[in-house]
Amino acid sequence: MRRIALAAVLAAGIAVTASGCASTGDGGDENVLTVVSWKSEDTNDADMKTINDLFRKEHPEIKLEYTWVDNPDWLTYNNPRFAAGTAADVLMLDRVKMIAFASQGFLADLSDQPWVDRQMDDLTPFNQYDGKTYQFNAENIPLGLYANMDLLAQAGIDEVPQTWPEFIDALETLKAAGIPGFSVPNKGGWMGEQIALELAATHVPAGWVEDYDAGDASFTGTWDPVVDAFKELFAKDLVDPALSLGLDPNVDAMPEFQAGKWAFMVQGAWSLTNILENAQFEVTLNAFPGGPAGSEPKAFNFVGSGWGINAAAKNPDAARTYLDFLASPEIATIFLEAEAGFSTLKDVPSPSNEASKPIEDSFAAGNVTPSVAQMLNDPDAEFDLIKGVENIFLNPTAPASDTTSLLNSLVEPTQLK
Amino acid sequence: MRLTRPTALLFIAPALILFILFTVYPAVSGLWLSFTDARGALAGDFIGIENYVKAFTDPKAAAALQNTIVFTVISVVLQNALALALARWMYSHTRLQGFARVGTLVPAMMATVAVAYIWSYIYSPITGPLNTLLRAVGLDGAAKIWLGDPTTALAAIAVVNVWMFTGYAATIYLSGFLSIPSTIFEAAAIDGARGWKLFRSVEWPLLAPAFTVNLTLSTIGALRVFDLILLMTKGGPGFSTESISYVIFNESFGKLNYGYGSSLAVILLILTVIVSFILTTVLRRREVEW
Repeated sequence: MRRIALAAVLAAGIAVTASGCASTGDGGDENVLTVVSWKSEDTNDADMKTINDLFRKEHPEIKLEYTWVDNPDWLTYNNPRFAAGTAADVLMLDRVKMIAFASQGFLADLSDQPWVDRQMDDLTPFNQYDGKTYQFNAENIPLGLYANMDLLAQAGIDEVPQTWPEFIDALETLKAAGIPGFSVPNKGGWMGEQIALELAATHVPAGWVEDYDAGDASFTGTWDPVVDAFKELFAKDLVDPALSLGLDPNVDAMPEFQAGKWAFMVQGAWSLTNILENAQFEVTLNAFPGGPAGSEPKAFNFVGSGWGINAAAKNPDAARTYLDFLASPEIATIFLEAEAGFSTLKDVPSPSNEASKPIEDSFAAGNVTPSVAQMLNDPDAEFDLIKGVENIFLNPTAPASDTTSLLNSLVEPTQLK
Repeated sequence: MRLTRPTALLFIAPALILFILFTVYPAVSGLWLSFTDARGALAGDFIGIENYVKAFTDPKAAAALQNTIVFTVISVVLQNALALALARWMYSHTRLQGFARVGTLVPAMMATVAVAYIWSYIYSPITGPLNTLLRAVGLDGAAKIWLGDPTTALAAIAVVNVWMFTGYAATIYLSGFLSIPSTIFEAAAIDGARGWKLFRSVEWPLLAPAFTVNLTLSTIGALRVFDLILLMTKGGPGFSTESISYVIFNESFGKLNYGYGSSLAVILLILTVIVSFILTTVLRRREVEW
């Protein structure tokens, strides 16, 4: 009898343990909508706190559960959850992530959604995979050259440089005046890659990405001017490559730029609001002066952040309601203003800001093009570019072919179906 | 109650089920995955030992293996030497023992993210306290771009690892010291053993079990290093701080090459098992009983 009782207790224990493991945490009959995003509600990044509060007010019947996950951890966090069937209903996306998930069948086909026809036509390659729409693109966000106009004036420079020779001249003038010129914090490699992408916007011809992924082109030759531009900065002692590798963009560079210690810094438009709040000087956000004399400055933009829906969403109706809400002109404008981004919708004008006027003008003139890192199909192209560009900082006197050969070996040419 | 075979089986059943579910099944799945060309969650086709051939000819994997070994040697040697000294000091300062024990364990209890952030600040070439201190005492030449220089970055991260786990190892050594019967110390004192001689002839041989545990644990931990590298350098500058675990992470979750990533993980597992086996076998031989 005791044995039977003992067996029953243990069996119950095992059953409880097993059921605990198998629990899906559905939350019963509640109308719960789970959203995962790299824009934090807690810090009101992209004004998501405001946007979500408005959604909760307009849709009290939906319980919105919003989770922040850091962008670099996106695939690590979401891919296993998709595989296990526990991913969120709505996910923030960009082209690379959309392809990674859609190619595995994890995303819902949104081709029939009302906002699809309102998205700008040139964004189609960024929203679709295999002919189907998988994401609502919420912004076109540029990265450009932030300029401290007060420091430039102090050195006798009246205007932000428009070409590479003018930029070099400005840095030499600043150096002569004892003013720190171009902040290049490259610990982790991200900043070097961003500057390379700015230079690529000028030097890498349209169509190169498609050719590369088709195996018909390489970094050799095409990317030489990008590498040579870095080498010129190092050779003229305008940027210290060794020091750059030890400086963190967030810990070291951003506070220093906001404190008015540097004349130039490359950063995304998403930092503009924060910089304007903290800077006690006139600041402008400009396209990058990467071209030869007589050329116009160019910059690159990230298409996205966007939003997609889990193909196995537990609450697909609420998920579609949420995307409709985000795509509405009023909410899209709140998001764009917070991000200082460009609009992706035909019926929503891009917000304007005096500080970002120069890059807005460049965008209007067609001089802001999508990031090469984002257009390459290799899901880890950005990481590979980071490693390749870091090589210029590690071997500043090596020929450009050293870096371009490394890039050829790192970035995997990938053709999509 | 007499423990019969069925009752014993019932007792171990919950743990056994969880072990099979969360250890054996994933390990077998991972092993299978390593022989496929799986990308992401899509099931791949069987490709034989192709991933292993790639792993043994991939210069990135070879560089990562070398970095992992260097990191392990620095971490294990420094951590155990310092922990031993710390434990000896705590053993001879009984009044401070409780406080010191807790204090030195604190770094091991801290979140790795916080540790990485604090040390990134300490190592900062412009505002970092380490360089400021070195310059203040006239050692300007010793100030470095710690995490930005390929020749110092890996060692700098190893130092952080040592800082985190020295207290943990010292606690194990201290329990080793405390388990040595006082009669042995008394006999040694009568024989005139003191200082270095006492340590070498009495304490060191009797600390062998603690040494086996510490060396094995610190070696396994160092061979698997990943989080500090991801947080402090992302494997850079260049590939100078990429460890095997970091390459596994990038291949699996960055490039979604689950098959190749799994083959590297299997190689790391085999390496860890071999090293641990050798360590425990060799070190257990020198353990003495009293």
